[in-house]
Amino acid sequence: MTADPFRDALLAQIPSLRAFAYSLLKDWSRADDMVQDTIVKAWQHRDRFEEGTNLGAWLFTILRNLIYSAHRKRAREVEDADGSYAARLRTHPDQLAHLDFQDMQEALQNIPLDQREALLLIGAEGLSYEEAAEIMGVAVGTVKSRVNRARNRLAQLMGVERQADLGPDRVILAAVQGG
Amino acid sequence: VDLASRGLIGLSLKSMYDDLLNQPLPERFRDLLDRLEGDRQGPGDGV
Repeated sequence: MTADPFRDALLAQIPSLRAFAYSLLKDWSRADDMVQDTIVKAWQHRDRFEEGTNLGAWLFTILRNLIYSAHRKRAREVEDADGSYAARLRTHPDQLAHLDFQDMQEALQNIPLDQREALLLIGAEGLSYEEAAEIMGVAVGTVKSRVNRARNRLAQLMGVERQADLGPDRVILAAVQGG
Repeated sequence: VDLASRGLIGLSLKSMYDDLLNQPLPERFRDLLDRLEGDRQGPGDGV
C-alpha cells in the first residue's frame, strides 16, 4: 500500500490487464507494452476518473482501444489467410486431452478480435454483459451475439461439438457456464 | 454447440485465464508507477 489509492488500484488491476492483453495478442512483450501504455494514459487522465466508479472497466476501455489501434496496423500479420492454422487445430486427435492451455490460446487466435474480446470479458474476466458492452462501445445484444459466435467457433476449432455424448453432469455444466 | 461442450469450453477458458492472472508481475510496472508518482510529486515534494 502507498499513500496514493489511485496508484494502488492501478497496480491491483495490472494482472487482469496483462491476462486480457496476452489473450488477445498471444505475445507477452506486446501485451506488456499495451498495458504499460494503458497505465501511462490512465495516469495522465486520472483527473477524469471519478472515484467510486469502475476503474477496471475504464482501464479495459483504454487497453482495448490501444490494442485495436495497433491491431489495425498489423492486420496483415495476424491474418490466417489460407486457414492453415485453423485446419491444423481441427486435426488434433483425442479431443479432451487437448483442451489445454496451449490449444485454447491457439484456438482463441483464430476467432475474430471482436468476438474474442467479448468472450474474454464475459467468460474469463467475469464481467456482466452490461459492463462488457460499455467497454466495447456496443449494445448488450451485440455482446451476447459475439460471445455466442465465439463459443461456437471455439467448439469448432477445438473439435468439442459433440462432447455431450460423453455424458457429463448437465447440472454441474450449467453451474460453470455462467450465462 | 451443446450444453456440455459449452461447459468444457468455459472451464478450459477460465483455467487458461487463471494461469495468466497468476503470472508474476514484471518489475517494469512497479518501476513505471514509481516514475509516474515521482513526476507527479515533483523533484522537491517526495522527500
